[in-house]
Amino acid sequence: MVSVRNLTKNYEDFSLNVSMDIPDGRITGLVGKNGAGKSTTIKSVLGLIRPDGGTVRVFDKNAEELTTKDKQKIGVALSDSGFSAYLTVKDIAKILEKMYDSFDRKNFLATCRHYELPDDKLIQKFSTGMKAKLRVLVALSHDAKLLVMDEPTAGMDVEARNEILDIIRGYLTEKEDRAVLITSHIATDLEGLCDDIYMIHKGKILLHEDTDVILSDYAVIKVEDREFQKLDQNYIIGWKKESFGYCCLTNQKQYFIDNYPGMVIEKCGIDDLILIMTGGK
Amino acid sequence: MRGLLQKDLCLLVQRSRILLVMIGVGILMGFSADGSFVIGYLTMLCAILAISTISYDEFDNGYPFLLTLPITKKVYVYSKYAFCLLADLVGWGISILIYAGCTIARGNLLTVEALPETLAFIPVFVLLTAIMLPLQLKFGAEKSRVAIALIGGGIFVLIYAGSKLLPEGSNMPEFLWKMSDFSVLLLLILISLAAALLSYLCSLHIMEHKEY
Repeated sequence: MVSVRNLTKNYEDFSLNVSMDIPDGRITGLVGKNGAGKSTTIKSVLGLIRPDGGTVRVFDKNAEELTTKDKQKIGVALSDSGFSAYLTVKDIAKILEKMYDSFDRKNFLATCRHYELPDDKLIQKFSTGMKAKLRVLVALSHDAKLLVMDEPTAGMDVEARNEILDIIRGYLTEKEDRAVLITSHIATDLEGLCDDIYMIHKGKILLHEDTDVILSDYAVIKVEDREFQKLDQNYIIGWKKESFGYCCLTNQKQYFIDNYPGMVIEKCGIDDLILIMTGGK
Repeated sequence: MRGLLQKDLCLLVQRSRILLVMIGVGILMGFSADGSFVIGYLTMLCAILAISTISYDEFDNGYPFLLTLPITKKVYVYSKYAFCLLADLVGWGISILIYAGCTIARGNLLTVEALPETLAFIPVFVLLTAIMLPLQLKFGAEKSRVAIALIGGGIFVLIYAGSKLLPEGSNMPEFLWKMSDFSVLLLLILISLAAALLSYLCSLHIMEHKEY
């Protein structure tokens, strides 16, 4: 559904160089630290910025050439941008009704009520969590084929986050030809939601892997300095110096379990992945 | 386009109280002051309220999301011009009704001679909208105020310098004096339409080259 090939974008103090694919029927996560290039990548996919090089294809068209018909098939929730805070949910329903052919006003208002978003209150008076919920509900309101979500659960409490993640999961399973690109700082959200993960750092993709593989085959090995020298470095993909010695990342968990009995080998989460891959060597 | 107009209308409705108070002030002005001041006042108010919808779009980094909706930058610019010009006309229409009501209430008659003067407000405010819109789109709400002040100052300096450079006793070109009020009105309409077209093309160029 989305294909990014050698996308480059150069700013004064930052350069982006990214290739990635977002296939139908999958939820693709993009993780990385602040300033890693997640938002720039998302903006390129949405045609909001012009690439300096490479191609961004969405529905087999260049992102910048998407027509209004094509854009009807994209649902977007951005963390730092949304409808004017001087509008109400009712106003937004009226606007969306005129924007999207597939928008169901009654259903949208009922869903907003279900998530305790008042119809007549100005958005500026909403809490951070309420604003985030509204952004997600707007993105899901018009039967979009592609969902692009930048930090959709930011500012939500754990219950609201789980609700929203369930909606996104349910949205994808409703129809097979849908796809989701999502970024989040909350790694556990992505671990339970994404089919595959791209990790971006300083404008470059450091890793692309299926989430299941990360959770099953990756591990964090904690060793002291002298043990570190003895480790088989062929299967270490990154390490980070710690006060006690080293935190090493491997994608061959079973090899170390079999060959290094007694060594501290812990389950690897996306947070560990980010910390070691971007903070170490 | 319909969605964008709906958005601007909703934003305007949020400020309907200000509009109603200003219409009340306009009615009081219509009774207390002679002439067509109320037409300029209310049309100006509607024009400013309509142009200020750009500030609402810009506020809180609203543009990136707005441009992910099923619209193009061209449609955005087109809808903004349509909405602002429509607001100019509605403002003028309301103020004309107040002006006519107040004139009759004061026991005066509405004359055909006053028509060019009252109609002239439309091209004047179209011209104002044509100047303001590209500045707002280029510089944003805050910086555009500085740009407007600089342009205003520049025009003043040009006129002042022009009057100093012209020989003593020189006057406006003679053909302008000979023109009827309706001819002046027609000239004003043509100038404002040309300015609106040029302004639209400038705004389109500004938006097409902006990144969000």
